[in-house]
Amino acid sequence: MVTLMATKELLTQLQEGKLLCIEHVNQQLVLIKKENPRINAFLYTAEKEALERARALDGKRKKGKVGKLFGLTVGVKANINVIGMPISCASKTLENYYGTYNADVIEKILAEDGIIIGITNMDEFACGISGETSAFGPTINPTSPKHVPGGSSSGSAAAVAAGLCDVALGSDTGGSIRNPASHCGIVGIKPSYGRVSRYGLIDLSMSLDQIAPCAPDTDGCALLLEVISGYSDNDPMMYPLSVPLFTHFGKQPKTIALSPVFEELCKDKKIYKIVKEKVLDFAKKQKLILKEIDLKYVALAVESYYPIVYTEFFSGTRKYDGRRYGKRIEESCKEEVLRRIIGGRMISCAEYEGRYYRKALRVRRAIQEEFEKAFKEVDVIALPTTPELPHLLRKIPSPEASYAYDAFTIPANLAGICAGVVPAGKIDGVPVGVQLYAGNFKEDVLVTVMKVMEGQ
Amino acid sequence: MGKSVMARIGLEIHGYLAMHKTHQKLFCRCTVDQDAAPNTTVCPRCTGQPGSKPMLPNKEAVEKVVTCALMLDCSINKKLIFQRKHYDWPDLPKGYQITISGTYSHPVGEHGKYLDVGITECHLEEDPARWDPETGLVDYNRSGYPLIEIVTEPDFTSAGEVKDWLESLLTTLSYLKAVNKNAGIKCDVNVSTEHHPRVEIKNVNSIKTIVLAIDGEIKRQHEVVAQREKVFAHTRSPPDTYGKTHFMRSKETALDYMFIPEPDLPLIHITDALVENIQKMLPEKPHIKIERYKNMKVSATDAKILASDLALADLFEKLAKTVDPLLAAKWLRHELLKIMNVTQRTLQEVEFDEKHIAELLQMVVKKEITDQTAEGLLKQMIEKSFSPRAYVAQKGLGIISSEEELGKLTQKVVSEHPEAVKDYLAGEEKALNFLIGKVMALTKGKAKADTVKELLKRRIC
Repeated sequence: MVTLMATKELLTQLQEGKLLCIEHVNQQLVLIKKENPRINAFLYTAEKEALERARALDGKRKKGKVGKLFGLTVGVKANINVIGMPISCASKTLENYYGTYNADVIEKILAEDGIIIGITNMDEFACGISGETSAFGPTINPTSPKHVPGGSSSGSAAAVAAGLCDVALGSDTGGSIRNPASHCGIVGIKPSYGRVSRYGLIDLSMSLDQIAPCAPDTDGCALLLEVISGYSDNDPMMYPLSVPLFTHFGKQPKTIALSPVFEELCKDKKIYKIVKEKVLDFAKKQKLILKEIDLKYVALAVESYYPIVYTEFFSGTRKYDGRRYGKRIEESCKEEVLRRIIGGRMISCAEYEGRYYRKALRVRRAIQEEFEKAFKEVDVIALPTTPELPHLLRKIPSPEASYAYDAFTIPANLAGICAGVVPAGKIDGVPVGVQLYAGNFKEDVLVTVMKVMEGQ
Repeated sequence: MGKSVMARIGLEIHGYLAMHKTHQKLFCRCTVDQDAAPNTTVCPRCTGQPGSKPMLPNKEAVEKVVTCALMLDCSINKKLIFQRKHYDWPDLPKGYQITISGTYSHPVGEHGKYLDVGITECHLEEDPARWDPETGLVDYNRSGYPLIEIVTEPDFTSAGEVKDWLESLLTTLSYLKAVNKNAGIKCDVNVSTEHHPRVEIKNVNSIKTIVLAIDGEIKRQHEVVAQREKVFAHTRSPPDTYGKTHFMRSKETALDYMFIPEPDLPLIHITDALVENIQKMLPEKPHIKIERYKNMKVSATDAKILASDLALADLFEKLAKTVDPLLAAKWLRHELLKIMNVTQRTLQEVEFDEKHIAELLQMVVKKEITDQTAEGLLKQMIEKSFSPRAYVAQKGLGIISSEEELGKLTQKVVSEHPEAVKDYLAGEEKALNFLIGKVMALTKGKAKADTVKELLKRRIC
């Protein structure tokens, strides 16, 4: 188990030239070669590209000003387009697809002098909670190797936890960055819907998907979020909002809330205990008002989430018809992806007009309104990340049990609000993260709370 | 056929929107260019690359459709929700088409009427790519072109009605510069006779073929009934080279497009201000113009021709303010259009100062110049507009009306052509025309033929 250097310290060393980019990348490449065969976090290592870029950045530093991510290595989930790299979504369907263009977030990372070091493993097409549905083998949790690392951004979280890259991009549709961040003992943020451009992110569920950063600490996560945020007319679902400097951590909250509904839904009471203690302690030390908030509709989150995901995923995968990207998806994908496609087709059929998808959208609206109301009264809501500890590797639960596993993360996606996870403790050596919800586009409040809570 | 068959006919008309301002596709910034080399005006969006998203719809396209809908007296929906229409075909890069039609849509405009035919709805959608079934090659240049679809009620009863109406509709759309005429229109035609279920003929692409398809289908349904068989609802192919349509698919196997609201696009708001602004700018409809021109005593044929082109109609209306409408109509319809035809120009290409043309016509009226001189001037003015009065004065092109001057010339012609004079006196009218021609030639067309004729007659008799 490696000890990770704090992002701030690493960045200072790189920016001041105490650690050359080329040295840093070389060290990490050695580590990847050693560890990745076991962890399976990277599907592709961009060795040549990263070394070239590191050399160029070292030259740039001598000439003057450098970017916010100077020299930091970035792992990129296999569903985010990078020119010339295999963007397979960990599926046989896209096995031979190489990015033809850069996602908006990739352009932003390159503009701030980040180094793309590789493409990370994931659940196939982001359909999964454990990393085990990848067509290229499961990812191993570096922090707790007997348990799954969580998913679907399994490779990104595992790579960060194992020190194979400094920060990473995942995506979060129903908890896909928060769940593995919690299980691997790192920090992850699901931005508000519309905060980060989705242009270049391969669809799971278009109305819920967000590209999401993860890092060893809140500093790193807030930094990457700051870099990738901001309006782009490539994503028509964005608003032209200005982006606060998240790394300044200036927005102090006044109130924090717990909700009895989450305590009730939490199957493993030890998890809730850790979370609750952490929050009580935090509120006391920070002199925050602690509130209890009633949320009626979040219990319906899972039931309304899946019809939406199935329907949108079915639609988004129609382009994989075997004419353009090698293989027809229905003939090349694994079970969970196929289940969602078949389900999506059934829901979309005219016969079922509006009975499921549109009803689900209505429940989602109710959940949105519930949170809008809640965040008029409180600044942040604290809850567990998952209702149970991650299952043991290869002890794959039933689809129903897997779906229920996202019960605490899905509400944030349905409501469009931002949410983050920081490590809170461990149960039997398995990391447990506390999850925080903040209002729509209140990432500045969110990261401030995460930063303080992480330090305690 | 003994008695005429009662038919109800409805149309779904598709046309390419003309993007004069942006020259861009509907959901990306790629250029709309019918002549570009295959797959050169493309991007990740219009080729449906994994992870690409549409951009907000081209504002010009949305405004154009609103303009058309208003022109067809539709009520405008203020909230547009784009839909995904799914189907599996090689020309469709995303596996679905983004459209405002479909199960949950609110069309841009609905409940309209144009020349007594109900307009069900008017909406906007993207065109798929061009797929060549022979070679299997796909050209994505066309993918994402903005299309307008106009759906009518089944208010037509014959192919003739459809033809007249479509011609008028196309004129109206050309007034708005909304539709790319060169790209043509495509129609799905629905025909139902004697209350039998309706039959759809897909993708008919010219007015002539539409007439053929409708007449053929009415006859076919009549024959089916005559053989005591049932007409069933189905879709037929466009007429082949022999004018025959063929069975494509029955209603039972109708495609399920599995419409869902497009999750990658927000609701588009049409503001009241936009609708008001467009409403103010709408030109008068062609059939109203025609009626108005007829009230000015312009003949029905001339009125129709003048109204067929907005630029011509505008010019006519400006001229009619200062000169006799009949004279203006005659000169535009006959002389100007003739010159345009000969020189292969369109009014849009020519920059006329209508004051100059008015001046020209006034000179004709006041007999300051002859018709022949005026024609010559008009031909020159097409190249570059100028004041004819100044030019005539400068070049000495004014009419020769002095009897003294003309007298000298007639004297000359009469003495040079004694044979013709003799023939005329023997009763040959043609001989007089010959002599008139000779005098006119000497004046270079600057004399009035009538005057010359009178002078000649006087001199000879």
